[in-house]
Amino acid sequence: MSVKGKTSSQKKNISLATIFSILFMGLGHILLGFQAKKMKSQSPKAAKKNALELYHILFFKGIIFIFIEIFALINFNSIAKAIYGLVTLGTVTGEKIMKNNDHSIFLMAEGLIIFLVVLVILAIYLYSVLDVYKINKRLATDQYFIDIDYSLKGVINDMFPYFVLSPVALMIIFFVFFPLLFSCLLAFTNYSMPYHMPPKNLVDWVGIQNFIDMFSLPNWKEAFVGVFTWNVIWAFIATFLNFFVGLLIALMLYDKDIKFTKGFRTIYILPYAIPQMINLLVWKNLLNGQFGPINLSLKAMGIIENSIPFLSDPMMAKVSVILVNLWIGAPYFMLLLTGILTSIPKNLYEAAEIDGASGLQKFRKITLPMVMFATAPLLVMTFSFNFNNFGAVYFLTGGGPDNVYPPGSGAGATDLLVTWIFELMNGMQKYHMAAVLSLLVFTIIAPFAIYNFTKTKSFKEGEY
Amino acid sequence: MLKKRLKQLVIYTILIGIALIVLYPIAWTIGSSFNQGSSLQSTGINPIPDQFSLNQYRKLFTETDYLHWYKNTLKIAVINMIFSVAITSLSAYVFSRYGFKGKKISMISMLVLQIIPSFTGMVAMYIIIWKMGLLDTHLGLIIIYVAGQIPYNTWLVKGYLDTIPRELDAAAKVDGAGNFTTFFKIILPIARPIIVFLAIATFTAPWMDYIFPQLVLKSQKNWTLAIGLFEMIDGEADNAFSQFAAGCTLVAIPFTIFFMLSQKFMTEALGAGAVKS
Amino acid sequence: MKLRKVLAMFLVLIMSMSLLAACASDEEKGDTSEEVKTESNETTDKEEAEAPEGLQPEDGAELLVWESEGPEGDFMERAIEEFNKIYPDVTINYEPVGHTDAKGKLALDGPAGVGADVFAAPHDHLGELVESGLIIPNTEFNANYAETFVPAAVTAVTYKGETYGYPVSIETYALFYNKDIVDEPVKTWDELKEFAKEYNNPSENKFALMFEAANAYYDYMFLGGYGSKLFGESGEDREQLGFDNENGVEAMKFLHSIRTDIMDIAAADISYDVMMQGFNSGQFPYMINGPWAIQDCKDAGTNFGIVELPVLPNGEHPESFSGVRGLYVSSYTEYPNAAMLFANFCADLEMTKERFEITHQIPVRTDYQVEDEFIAGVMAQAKYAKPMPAIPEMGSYWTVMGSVYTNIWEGAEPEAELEAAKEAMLAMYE
Repeated sequence: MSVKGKTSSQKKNISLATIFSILFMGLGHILLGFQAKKMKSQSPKAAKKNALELYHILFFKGIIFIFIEIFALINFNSIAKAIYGLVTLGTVTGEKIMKNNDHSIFLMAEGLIIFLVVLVILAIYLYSVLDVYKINKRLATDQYFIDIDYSLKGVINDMFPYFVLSPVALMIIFFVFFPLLFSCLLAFTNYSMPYHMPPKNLVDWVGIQNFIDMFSLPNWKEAFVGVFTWNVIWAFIATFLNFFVGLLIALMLYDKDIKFTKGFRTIYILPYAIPQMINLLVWKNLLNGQFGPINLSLKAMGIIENSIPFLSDPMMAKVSVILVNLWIGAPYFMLLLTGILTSIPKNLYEAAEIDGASGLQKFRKITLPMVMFATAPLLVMTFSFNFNNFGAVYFLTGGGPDNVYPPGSGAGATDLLVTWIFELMNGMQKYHMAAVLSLLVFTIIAPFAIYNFTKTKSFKEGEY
Repeated sequence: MLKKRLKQLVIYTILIGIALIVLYPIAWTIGSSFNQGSSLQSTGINPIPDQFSLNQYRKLFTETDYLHWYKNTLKIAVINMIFSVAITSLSAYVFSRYGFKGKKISMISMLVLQIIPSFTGMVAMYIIIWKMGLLDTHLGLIIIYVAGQIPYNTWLVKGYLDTIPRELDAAAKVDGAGNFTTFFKIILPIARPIIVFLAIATFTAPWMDYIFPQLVLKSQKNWTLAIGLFEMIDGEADNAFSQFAAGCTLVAIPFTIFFMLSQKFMTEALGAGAVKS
Repeated sequence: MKLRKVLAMFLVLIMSMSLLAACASDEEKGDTSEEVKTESNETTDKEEAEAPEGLQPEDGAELLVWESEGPEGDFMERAIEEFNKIYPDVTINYEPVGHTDAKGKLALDGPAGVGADVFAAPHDHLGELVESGLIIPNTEFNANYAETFVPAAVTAVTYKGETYGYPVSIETYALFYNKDIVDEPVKTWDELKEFAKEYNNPSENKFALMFEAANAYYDYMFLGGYGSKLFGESGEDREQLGFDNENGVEAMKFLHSIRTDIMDIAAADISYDVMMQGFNSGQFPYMINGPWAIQDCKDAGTNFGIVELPVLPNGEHPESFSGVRGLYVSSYTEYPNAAMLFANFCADLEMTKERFEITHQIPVRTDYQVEDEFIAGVMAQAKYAKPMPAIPEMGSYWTVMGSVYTNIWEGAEPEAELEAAKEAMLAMYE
């Protein structure tokens, strides 16, 4: 503290500002603001405006920070109560009037929200201290406001990313991050029908018991392994089949000997244009094994003798789901690949023709590499979309047929993890097991996604 | 020459075959919407019903709140589109063009956040919407949609913006353009295809999502089409399949017309969605 | 520029603050409403002591009612109209929520203040509703229930000795037959199998009988008919599954024989829609369905009749599940008096008559018998029906046995399936 020299008194004041800020967020800014105002008088003329603007900025920031801290302090009690609720999940139970009982789930949610808000406030707090520290260092080295631009415009420029992103970040924190965090927490409770449902009963923390159940109780384990395996297979087949059929159609329509391409394309685009749920529910009726028009037609034409069990045989139902998804998904790839094909330079083909390349060679050496190069990242995205493709299964088969896994898990032959989770939540109200599944999905896929991300160009380039 | 003819024959056969496969279910749906009776099953192999009747359409408008649902859905879709496009494109712009502390970690978090299907957080979303007093309001639903699509779409748009040469906006900055000016005057026009793609994607999403509307919207007047239509066929003894088909046809027609008219544009936009990220 | 910056910062600030404020203020609100609630409860207690008949709705009471869409909903709107003639100051709104969905919705909507005050539910949900604390007992109007309602209805709305609901109708399923195809309905399943031998023609989709073969609601009739009593005679003993024995195996073998002998159709291909369509168009001369289908069949112009279910090969009648639909008052209602008054109003004599006119559901009042040939058919079966157990474990019956019946229908071994079912159900109790 005992710095000697001309500016020692100033430095003292400024360090004081940092300490002030640590004690009470925003005070440091106010102090520095006055400092700047004082310094304004000593500054050369050219820097006067600069100093004044700095004063305004600091004052404004300081007041906002003070408000935030006051707000937090006023609500200290409810904050503490909320955190307590999160830890205990409620203590009052057995009251005749339900409203007087603690509702564990709401306590948990409120506690978590408050916890996040506290985190945000702490982040602001940390920022305010660092900000004061940074400005005070600058002021110490440049007391006459000449070298460094303190103007409002400069500050805005520096802060621009944060201005734009902080509302977005808040939205994501509260509407995406918070719900997911909440459902992760549920995995460690016993929240389920009928005996652990608030408000009559409290929900308790049960540690990793649910995970142990998932992997030790035969009905859960078998269903999980089965559903997960099918889910991975499904995502692969659904993605690549759609891609290649889409490519095939795009290539056929791109052939220079084919006419009416626009007409064909217009027809093929229809499944993509009509909302997915409608398509799937229509297909569900078309594919009814006994009464659906497809089997009736095939029988009438003498192609088959016995009905094809499109939706009732476990294996066949899986095939049906994949094929219907192809019907719905191929047009998207067709459109996409048409766009990419058009962008391949014509002279590449001309050069190849001069070299005497056959049609197949041209496809293998030019078209396919170009197309794959352009679509590879998209295939990854489509894969993750299909992995969680709720509609394709839910509306077509509802997860059925049900006769492959031991009873009690609620899973069926075509169930994906998502549809199973949905059934557990909505149908059986086994929120705890649904949460366990979502957490498992997350831990399995997240590493792949992050690995994939670290390989992208934009990550390697990093921040410039 | 013969080879060429043969190739044409094969390709045309395949193309026509695919066209039939594509058209049949659609024709069947439209056919059953003109059915006299209520059941979709009563339409047999032939997609054209025996007795042509507008009965289902009449019932749709007189006995249900179909028009209300249509209006609600349209409203939600449009507002969702506007806010999503504005928020996503701006934040993608920042991620693509600015360096700032915490950039990498926020990008990874956004990537990771979009892995878990969003409805697993249903209970929590319900509580937060309730605490904000937005249950049974369209605003509550719109906020969920807008917030939910940010992570994925920001990634998508950022990927596209990364391909636009930085020299362009650097030059504008040198000329004294501000952040917003650069964004609106330089970046947006070039990024039009991906913006269009984004607009279409966010506009179409609310039409058939039925999980969140069911969670947030309580009164029938506020329902969206997805709940209204699904309820027609999902109730305990509800079997208004042809009415459902009629409702679906009226949803599908504007979409189909739009997609047909904007085919070229769509190809461009979808191609844009595929650029390397 | 300055303005923009200010706006941006304020936006951030306001968003974070309003969130915190929303949480905090709501807590306060919760506290105050609790006080109000206890107060109003005291007043009800006083009133109850003096004159239960004089129960008056709270000032400015506003109720929300949930009932299924369709005829039931139409009735509700009618009842609201009538109720308002007596109590013009009570505002009542109706929203269509399926009576089987009410339980799941109320768990969140109730505490959030957007749930129904009065709602309809099947009685097998009663245990879960009580155990999760979603409804309040019917303490005001239950005095004369034993005389007013048929015994089955009283039992159905009672849980652990306490009356909760306001019964409005009873239902079970019976055998529907098409009079244009069969003159005299079959008496036994053996006769039905004989008939199927001649009648069935799978290529034309003609089957003697159609019913939802993988639905645990219907399939219980075989278990019951072969002597397996789910959750014991009383239906309240969760340790007694009833089916884990020889009788259960017999019943399941019989269930599968229906597939081989009468309707060889995969479970996934059978739907309510298919059944109704085929019955009305004359493809299926018999179907097993409930009174809710009567109106649809009449509308379709089908010439049909309803009789009791055919006798099983062991000489017993199938023991169908019977369900009592009741109205219940949410424990989260702000206006318990008005809610109870309204629920009771819907179950009184006048409204019961109205209800029958509109919904054709079978009334449960002792002072009102319906003269109707179709209802008589259903009532004939009701003699052999068992009220669905109402204990909370019913939820695991629906999940587990739903898939077990499907498996058996598709040809699984009954012994192994029932053993697995037993394990799964007991595991779900936790």
